[in-house]
Amino acid sequence: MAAEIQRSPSNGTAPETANGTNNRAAAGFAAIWHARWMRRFRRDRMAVGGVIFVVLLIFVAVLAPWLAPYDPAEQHILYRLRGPNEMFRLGTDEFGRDVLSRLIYGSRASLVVGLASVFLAGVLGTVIGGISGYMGGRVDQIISSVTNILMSFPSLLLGLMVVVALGPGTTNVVIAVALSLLPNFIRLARGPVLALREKEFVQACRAIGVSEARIILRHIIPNILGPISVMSTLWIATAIRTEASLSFLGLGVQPPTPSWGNMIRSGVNNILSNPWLAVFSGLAITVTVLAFNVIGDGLRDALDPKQRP
Amino acid sequence: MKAYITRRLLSIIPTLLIVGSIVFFVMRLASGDPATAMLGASATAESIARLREQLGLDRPLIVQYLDFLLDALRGDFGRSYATGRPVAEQIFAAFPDTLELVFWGMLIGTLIGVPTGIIAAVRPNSIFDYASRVVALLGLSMPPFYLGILLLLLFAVNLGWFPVISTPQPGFSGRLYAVFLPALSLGLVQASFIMRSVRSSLLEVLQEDYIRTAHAKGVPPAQVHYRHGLRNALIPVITVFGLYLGTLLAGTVLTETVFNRPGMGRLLVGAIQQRDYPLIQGGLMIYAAVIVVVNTAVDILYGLVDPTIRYD
Repeated sequence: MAAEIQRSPSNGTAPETANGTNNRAAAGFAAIWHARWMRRFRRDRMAVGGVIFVVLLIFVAVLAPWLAPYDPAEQHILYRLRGPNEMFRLGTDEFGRDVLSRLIYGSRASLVVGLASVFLAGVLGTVIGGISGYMGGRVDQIISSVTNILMSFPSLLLGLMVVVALGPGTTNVVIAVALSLLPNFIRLARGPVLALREKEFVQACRAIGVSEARIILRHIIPNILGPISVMSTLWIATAIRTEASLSFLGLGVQPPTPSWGNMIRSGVNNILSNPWLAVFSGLAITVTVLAFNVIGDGLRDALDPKQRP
Repeated sequence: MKAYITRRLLSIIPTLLIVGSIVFFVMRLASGDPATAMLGASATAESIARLREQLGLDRPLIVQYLDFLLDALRGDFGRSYATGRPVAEQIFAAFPDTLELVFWGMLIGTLIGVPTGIIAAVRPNSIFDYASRVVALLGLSMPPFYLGILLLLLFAVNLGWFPVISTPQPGFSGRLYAVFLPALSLGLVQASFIMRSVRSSLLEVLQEDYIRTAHAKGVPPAQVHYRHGLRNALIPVITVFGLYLGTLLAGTVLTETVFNRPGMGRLLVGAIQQRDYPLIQGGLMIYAAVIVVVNTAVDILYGLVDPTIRYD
């Protein structure tokens, strides 16, 4: 699957065309840009649309103070629970706060939780899965069986359990979502490592006395980053959904900090007076998750053309 | 074969033991002290200490742990801090409603997902294939409760065909009426997952050499697709069925909240908000037990339908 992106320095196939660091980075970028899988990816219009949306969303999150028409916490108490109108483009919530501004600021919570939790789970999972696959034997048996058990649990239930233990709040939600994704990453990293440790270049390292830790970190992990980055994109989607679900249950990001999940919650509580609140916040989540899903699907199709119909 | 089934059944025990231990220690890690939570901020240190003693929270952790495991084995999860009633009693009162929702949700998901997946795979890149893939992608990008909210808005708030609060009414039709919207919202999301896995699995099988051979020797296309294709394609689908059922079960937590429907999910969320530890513990254990049993059943089923699996 990742044959074309196994360009880590460890197996000596990295393009050594430039001298300076900058040139090398540019050459690396050009190599990726012109790679066959990238050409296939660029032809996938849905996936490219997903990338454009995510880039825009990152801009929105960063530039929120300049883009939002109102302060997200400012209460216009005379205009509570209004539908979309001239003054408030997407209406107001039960405290008279501007929904559009809160949606703009809420993108931060979703992106932070989505990216941070996947990053955390990716690092931890790759290390644990790597160790498990590389060591084999007893260690592998124990790690694999616990992973298998946890894999059969839906991420929402795992996330719920962790939030119960740690309490609600943004940081704890990141930890909860990360732990709920951890088994996936462990399993993903373990398989290829199991195969890689028998390869000649690893044997060669061992023969010249490279330490086990260094073999894992410098030679094995760079080789499994390809499949991991593809799946990470899909799991960012899962992470954003899980954050929204936890916040919807009142166990995630806590008000008054806006998050799309807790906005949906107040939308459902006020569904009869202002249905738009729930509709807009749910739409924001759906479109964002959709964007990450099509990017992930596009990457997978581009890297593994066999799977394509 | 018998040995394989026995071994799979026996493996339920260590699995549940591990899950039980995780649940117990996670609960004990929980930041708040239940005695303080129950008595409120104005409680004196003495009354808190007395309550801790009554609840058995002052005993060594390992004693509490073993007690929990032994009691759980007997189906005793202690008494709810909030209501004082046995946890098992509350769970078993709520369980049928959730089970009903899961059953109809899975049925709707399967009835829509499997045929759509088959048609999409048999006619790849057709308009039908394209449309169903886009809809499925949308379905699995939606938070599971969002579709419920949209259905609620359309059918209950705007059209008034269904109640906003779906409390089950007595009688079969009354129950069906109440479960319809929640089950539809879960089932449609489920259908997108099922459709995608049926489609990709069948597509893969249809590219096999024996399919080409079957076509070449003049077997009618429908027969090739269903007898040679579908039968083999459903084997990998069965393995993910357990996973889907777990997701659906977790989805009921959200759906029940959206529709104000009684059940395990509402019970669990309420317990979490009230820090009712015995109830949370019991609820999570029941969810875990159901998931473990379903997965074991799926494993055994998988062994039965796939003759290429060896049981050693």
